[in-house]
Amino acid sequence: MSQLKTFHAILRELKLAGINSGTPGYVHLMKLYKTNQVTAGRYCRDQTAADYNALTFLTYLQSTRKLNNLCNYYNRGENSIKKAAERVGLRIPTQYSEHPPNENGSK
Amino acid sequence: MNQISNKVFCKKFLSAGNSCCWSRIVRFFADKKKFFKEARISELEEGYGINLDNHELKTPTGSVLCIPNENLAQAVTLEWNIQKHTIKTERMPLTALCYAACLSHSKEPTVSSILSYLTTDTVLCHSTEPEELVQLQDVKWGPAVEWFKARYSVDVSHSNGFIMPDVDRQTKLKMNNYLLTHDAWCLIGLESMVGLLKSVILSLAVVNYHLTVEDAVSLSRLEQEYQVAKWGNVEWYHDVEKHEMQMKTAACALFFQMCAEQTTSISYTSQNC
Repeated sequence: MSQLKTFHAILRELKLAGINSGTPGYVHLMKLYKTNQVTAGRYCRDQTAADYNALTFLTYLQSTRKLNNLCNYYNRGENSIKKAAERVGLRIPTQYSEHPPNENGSK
Repeated sequence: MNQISNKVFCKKFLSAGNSCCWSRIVRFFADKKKFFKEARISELEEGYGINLDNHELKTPTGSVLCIPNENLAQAVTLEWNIQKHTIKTERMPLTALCYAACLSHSKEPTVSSILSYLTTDTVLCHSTEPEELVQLQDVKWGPAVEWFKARYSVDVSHSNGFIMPDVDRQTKLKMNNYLLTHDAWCLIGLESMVGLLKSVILSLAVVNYHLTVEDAVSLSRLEQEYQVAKWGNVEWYHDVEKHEMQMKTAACALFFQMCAEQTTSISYTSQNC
């Protein structure tokens, strides 16, 4: 994946995660990209180190988002006791309510 | 999952008649609500701390969390800022690694824990059937093992079936000395990655920029991926497992790289030259 594509993908992931352009993390990321603009191998470390780190960061953000989406989609049903009861054909008993039912007895 | 352990615990306590403290137990296991607006870094004497609004972030033992470098501190604040309504601690691997690194005091236990995985390394344990899987393992795992042998000048060979791979004393000594040259914080990241991938060879390939995180996770889950390709994918199990492993491995890789590198940059303007 080219460096520019990775960079755009990272920015998109941050936007999807709700990190706006003013937050310190975002500002720091832009600073890192600017300082490393010309420096692929300049600081005596691996030529592709910065590219790899960017790709790793992108993988981290993407996997977190996909995991959250999957868990929200598949774990939603567990919270609803009413739905779990209906699944086996039962109904939960009438719960106490501060607003009394209608005069003719219907809920 | 969290909700299931919630209900099991509640049931036990209800039946025992301890109704006064079950609510405390439920609250402990339930996800905490997000109680802050923004997380920022703060400069401390020995590094950087994290401030959640005006509260300092502390380790589970009560001491203030002190992170040695700025990139890692910024990444941890990003992790806290990504949380929406509840704080899901199981989705914050970088913070968990920082806590673990603050608690560890010496390198030797971490190194011996990493080396103990070498004798049962995933890429060295080949299965004997089915035939397709055996060939796939030779094709996919072979290059990673060759790279490891060349990079560290050691000799390892894979085993078949239930026999354990043979790793000689010389190799273990070399790897022990190599691992001890790293910083204690880096070793915590590496130990966590080895535990996830169940392979020392794949973890070292990731931190040496030889494999991407996605490739390493794919190689670690080779048999699962072979079975999924043959019998079908179950999204709520296979995909969740894959993404969780990718997230945590990527976090470990980032943690290692950020602790290993200390870079400063000097920018030259036209006036300085």
